[in-house]
Amino acid sequence: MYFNSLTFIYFLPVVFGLFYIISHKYRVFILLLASYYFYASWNPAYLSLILISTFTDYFAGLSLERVTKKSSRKLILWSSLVINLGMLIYFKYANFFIDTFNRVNYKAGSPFESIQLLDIILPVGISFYTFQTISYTIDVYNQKIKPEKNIAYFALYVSFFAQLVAGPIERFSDLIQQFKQKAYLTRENLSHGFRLILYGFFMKMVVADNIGIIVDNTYQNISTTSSFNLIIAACLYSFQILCDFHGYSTIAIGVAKLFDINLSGNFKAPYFSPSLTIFWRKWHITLTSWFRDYIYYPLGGNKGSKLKWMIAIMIVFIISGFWHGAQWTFIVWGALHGGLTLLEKIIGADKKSTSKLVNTIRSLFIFGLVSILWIFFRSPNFSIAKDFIRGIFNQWELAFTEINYEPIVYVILFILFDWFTRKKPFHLRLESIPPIIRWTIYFILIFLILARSGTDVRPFIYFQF
Amino acid sequence: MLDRLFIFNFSMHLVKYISIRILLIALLVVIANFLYRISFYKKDVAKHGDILENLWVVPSDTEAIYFGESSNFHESPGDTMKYRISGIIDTMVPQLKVHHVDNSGLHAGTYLAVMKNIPKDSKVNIFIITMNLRSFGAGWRYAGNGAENYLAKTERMLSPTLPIINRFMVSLKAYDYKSDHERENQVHEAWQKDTFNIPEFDYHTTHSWDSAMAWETWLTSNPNLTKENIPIAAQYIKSFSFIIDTNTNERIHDFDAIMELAKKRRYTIYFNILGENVEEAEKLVGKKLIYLIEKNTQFLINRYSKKGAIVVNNLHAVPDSCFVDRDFPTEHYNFTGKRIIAKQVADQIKRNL
Repeated sequence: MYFNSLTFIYFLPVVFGLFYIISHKYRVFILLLASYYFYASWNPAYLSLILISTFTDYFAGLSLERVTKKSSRKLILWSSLVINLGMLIYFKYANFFIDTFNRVNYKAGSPFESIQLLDIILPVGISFYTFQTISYTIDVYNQKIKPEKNIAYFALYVSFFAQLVAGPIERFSDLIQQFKQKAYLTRENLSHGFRLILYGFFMKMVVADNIGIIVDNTYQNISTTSSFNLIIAACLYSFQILCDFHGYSTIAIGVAKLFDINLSGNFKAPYFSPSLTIFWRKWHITLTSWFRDYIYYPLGGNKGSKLKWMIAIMIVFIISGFWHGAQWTFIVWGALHGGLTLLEKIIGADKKSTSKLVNTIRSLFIFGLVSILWIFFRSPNFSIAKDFIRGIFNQWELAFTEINYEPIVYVILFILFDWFTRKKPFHLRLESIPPIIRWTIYFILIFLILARSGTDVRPFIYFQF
Repeated sequence: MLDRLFIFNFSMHLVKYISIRILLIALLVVIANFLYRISFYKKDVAKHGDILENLWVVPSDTEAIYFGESSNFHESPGDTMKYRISGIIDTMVPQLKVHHVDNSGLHAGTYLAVMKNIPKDSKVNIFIITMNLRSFGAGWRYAGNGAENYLAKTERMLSPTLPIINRFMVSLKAYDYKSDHERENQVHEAWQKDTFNIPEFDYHTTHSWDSAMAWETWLTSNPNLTKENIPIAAQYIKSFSFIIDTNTNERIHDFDAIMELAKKRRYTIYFNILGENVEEAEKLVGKKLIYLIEKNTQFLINRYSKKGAIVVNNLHAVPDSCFVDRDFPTEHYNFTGKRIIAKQVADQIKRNL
């Protein structure tokens, strides 16, 4: 069940109504049932994976509280990690490893027979909820949080439908109290929630889905597309992926707000960043902070030697790339980001300048750089990425192909919204605007969502991760 | 207990707040719909529901609409007379203004959607609707290659709600969207599961019958079959070997809904059962397939005559020489074939005028 589906438009009011009609102490069950139904709508069989993850970490948490012996605690932690990461590796990476083995095997002329690829479908959201459960167990192990005794609340933490399939990746300590507190239906929650949902739909359905048509066409015809068209497509893809994922996160935050739950923001105008370091503080914030807390810091962070610090940064970025997808293109994308971020830090270009003009020029440069790196992310394999980049440099003689300018108008509109709300989230920024202007903005968004949303079948990009 | 319920905790202030906003949003949607109609609507209809464009160009003095698929307009390369079946009917019945609404691959589901869009005060009160026997078979009902998705999208665009809501529903994929793979699976599943239940038959499903075509024994048992024409023989089996099930067949539901609408709006309905190349089918596959074709045709005649439609049976009317396509059992006729069909329909109309 996608957010941008008719089923969800029926599902949400039903859950919302039931949630507020019944007594507070039963609300957790409503949300839990709704979340399981939401997840099962993709494939009921994969509910078992969420249940395995839930039970594993619930009992790991309780055991970690009871056991004091260090080696036993470590064993519990590692058991949980093996189960969670084992599921993730099996479903997401098994075929990648088999394929890599087969290629190496073939190139080396080894006598071993190729291994057949497994017939597996990647369960939606597995990368997201696995990271949530892992963070819980590690935090309990490090005694940063107390384990949850009530399995219903814990299960809801793992599976809350608003952020189950594509985040934001939440920490246990941020969510659990909100689940337990009595939720109130207030004007603030309603207006903030609906504003966010409206803006999220605009980003996803109007901006991302319409851009997607141009980008897909370009990627299907790289060799016959002019350099200028390729550059436009590369820049547009930067907005497609931002609006697709930012849109999803914004709808998720808005939906949670209707239930009086505050989720973490995932994006803060990332393309207005004067350095890659700043870009990564504003892009997929909950994933970046997860990597920082559970990989970068344990590897020593910036406290050890310079070499150790550089290795830690590279490891984080490469894992981040690999997290996005089981392909070498993602790994290279992560490694390039890591290398360039390191370079930036070494030459001292990672901080903001005091000059607005310098920051603007640097932001444009970073946008260009990020757009080039997205080519690796978007391309299904290296050969296509190579053709695309080569085409940008070598296909100037081909004639510019007229494109549909309508999506570009929506991109400009999005940039304007993003610029005006870069310091304060969209839903809060609107509050200070006179009602007539505010409702005009609502009208524009409603009109565009109803009348100009993309009509091709286009699921959220991050669902595949 | 009652005081715990949300509705009893709900302050009047909040009720007022929500109600005003719901009204405001409803008003905005109405204004948005108005703006949509004068801005993007026509462009969207051309893209997602071009059949409605067809309806818009129907002249205001039209009294009868002919609904058809490619059989209405397909021409033979040798034709000197370039007429639609509907055009010939219009000429043969001068006292009735007939206009067409047609496109490739249309079926009763689309005709129904278009009919719902005809204004109630329109002069049109006679509908001549193509009844293509193949459209009741799994191969067409679940057509792959995006055709059925496109028609489902078109039907959604033509739903009798605000155009802007229809457009939004299309972007939510709130229509019968299926991937090509899913549709092909549906077709193959139906060919394997739907049985004819006729004891004298050697095969009881399309799948088993079609599979048997590949056996060498067919070549020896039927002197008309050669390796070259086996594929077309297989297409006849895939297209016509079924028994219409009133519970599950979508086309029956569509035609039934057309009759209900006609009853409500007092329309006169003519169903034009298209001519099939029964000569070729019998030659290549045999009498058993003809038995099924005739059984289905008779069933449709009985069912819809009882419901008040005038059913024109052209099943055997068109000779083999009038069929244009030689690689598929399509109902594409040359001018002579089209005239035969048109005459049968026109005669029936004249009798009822």
